[in-house]
Amino acid sequence: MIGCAEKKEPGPVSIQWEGDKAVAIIVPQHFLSSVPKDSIKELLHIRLANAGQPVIGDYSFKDDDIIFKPIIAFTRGLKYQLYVRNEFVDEIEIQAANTTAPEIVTVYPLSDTLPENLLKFYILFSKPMQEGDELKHIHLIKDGRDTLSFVFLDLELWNNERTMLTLWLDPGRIKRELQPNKLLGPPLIKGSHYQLLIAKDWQDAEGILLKENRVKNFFTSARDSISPDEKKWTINIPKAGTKEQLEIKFNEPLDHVLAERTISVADANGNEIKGKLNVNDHGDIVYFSPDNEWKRGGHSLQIESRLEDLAGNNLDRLFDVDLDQRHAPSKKIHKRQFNIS
Amino acid sequence: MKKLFYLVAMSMIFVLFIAANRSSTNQYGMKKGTPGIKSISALAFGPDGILFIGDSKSASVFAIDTKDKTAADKAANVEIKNIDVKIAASLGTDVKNIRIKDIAVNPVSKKIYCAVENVDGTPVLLKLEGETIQPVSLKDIEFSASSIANVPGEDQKDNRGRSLRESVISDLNFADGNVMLSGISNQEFSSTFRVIPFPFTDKQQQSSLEIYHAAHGRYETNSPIRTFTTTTLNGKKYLVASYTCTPLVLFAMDELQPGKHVKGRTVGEFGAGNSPIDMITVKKGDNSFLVMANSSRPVMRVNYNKIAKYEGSLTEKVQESFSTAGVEFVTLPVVNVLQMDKLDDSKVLVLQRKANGDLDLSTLNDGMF
Repeated sequence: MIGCAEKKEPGPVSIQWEGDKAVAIIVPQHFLSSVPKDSIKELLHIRLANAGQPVIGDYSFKDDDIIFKPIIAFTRGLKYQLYVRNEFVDEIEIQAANTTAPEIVTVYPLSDTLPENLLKFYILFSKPMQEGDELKHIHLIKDGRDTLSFVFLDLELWNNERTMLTLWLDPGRIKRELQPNKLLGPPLIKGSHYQLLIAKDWQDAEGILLKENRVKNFFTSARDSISPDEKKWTINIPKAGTKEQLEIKFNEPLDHVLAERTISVADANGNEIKGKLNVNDHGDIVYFSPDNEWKRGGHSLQIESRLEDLAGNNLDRLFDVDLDQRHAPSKKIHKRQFNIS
Repeated sequence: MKKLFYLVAMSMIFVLFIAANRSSTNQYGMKKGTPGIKSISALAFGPDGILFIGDSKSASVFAIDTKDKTAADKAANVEIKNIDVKIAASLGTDVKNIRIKDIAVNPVSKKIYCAVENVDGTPVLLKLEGETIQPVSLKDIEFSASSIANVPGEDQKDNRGRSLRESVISDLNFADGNVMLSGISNQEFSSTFRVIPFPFTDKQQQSSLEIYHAAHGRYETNSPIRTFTTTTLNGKKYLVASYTCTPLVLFAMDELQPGKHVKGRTVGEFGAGNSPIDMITVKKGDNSFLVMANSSRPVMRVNYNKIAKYEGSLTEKVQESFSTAGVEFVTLPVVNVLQMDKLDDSKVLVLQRKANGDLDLSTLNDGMF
């Protein structure tokens, strides 16, 4: 067995994988027998099939193999060609990804009646999506007839994972008396039926199209010009010694994503109580389940003032602040006290 | 005497110790290492070939030493057709898989740096040498970083494991020893603007500003800034900002203090259905101009003298009508500019989508802007 150091058969060009990414091409030395080691960078090139220029990347050596690592992973489904001294030597195809098509998980707000000064939609995808030109795939149709122009802000705002897109209706058209508002009017008009259409010609980060179109139908109600007020919320208080849910009813749908992130519960000393917070689909009720049993005594809801309703009015200010009217000074955290017995 | 000798010796050891420590950082407090950049949202050059990289994903600003310090007075004209196709081929992928996120010209060497993002989110920094595309390594380089994850004084408890506030860096600039950046939240409609002194220190004096755009003097909204620059008008320094949905707004730099609620003054509203993309300041003779690229309108030019004079005429009476009047601007015969930077004093670099659909990197010479 020890004498098994027989000469290896010349191997083919192969791919080095890291998870589902093709991160490098391994070129056996026999492809480069005529090339001095110190000239390999200059004389060995990998090109995308039918492209004129070499792919840029790092060269390294392992045993007798040359490892070429491009700056970004090779693209799945594409072919790459090996050139030595500008002569074609070999071609290798990176196997296409075998994954499922992305889908739209949900579109917030979920209600089918929305204020005419609605500020934003959130579109949640099942997989990370491709960035760029999102407005090509999103259409707003009024009363089943007119596809509206210039209704959305052309600014792509993704979460870090690129699974949630924030889609703003053009704030310049919502803000009263700004030029866009005066010239084009508000994006949505009270008493109309709309369809938000998300077309399936949208690729995910792996280049796979959305499984199907998604349509959100909604009807527009009157303008919402009232800030959410935590003093008017209904709180169903659990009993001490239990792990019952604390239920907070807003009496109107609030921004789903902000509601999840801006509300917490504290004990009498102001220390945050650990637990899980869930917002119902319609965004009008929050449930808080503590990790440990509730203790008797004073508690408080702590709400960051940036929590907004569907029209972008937050706890401190309206989306449109009328300077002719006096308003209370801003505070970062609003507190609503309650007692557990 | 012996004591004096001892003191001298100790002082020398101390000096040597300081010198040894200094050797690991450069004059800007940068250390060698791998910065761990997760995304490149915006680029801006500082002094001595230092490039600032705004990284939205890791909520940080990185300063990297490009070592690109060979001065060039004038820049050569740049004309690269189908730049996106060429970059994609250099990266070994299809053009639909990449996005050019920002372009910045090193004011020292006049070389062009380009931030590109792969479809899977991998950030890439490239440098153009003529038509040759070269990678700029982000490993084992001299760098420093400043976190923008939390605004000082803001309660950022996260013990429920919720994700921290995410925001996108919409623009980044360096002026008068400060890195300035504007952010757009992907949750609430608000503005964040920070001034971070450079070199970065442990004790950062970040400024958290509430910037309000007062339109018509009656309604005001805490709007996010899309792009900005700085200028001096009548001997006073100003931030010139433009908004996602509207207008051109001035803020006095000396009012931008930490935690202060600062109101801007609108000097022009440049049209509906449009967002500003980039703005730069250029000089033509004795005059300087603001040049602004837009999403769905041509590139605009505004004479700073006219902005300065506008300030002089802002009485309450004028304020009634200035929102409709606005400062005079000229639209240039240049459309569909996606990125823009100053190539040198007489040239502007533009990344432009041409009528045939091609994406070209080209130069606007003096007569064209």
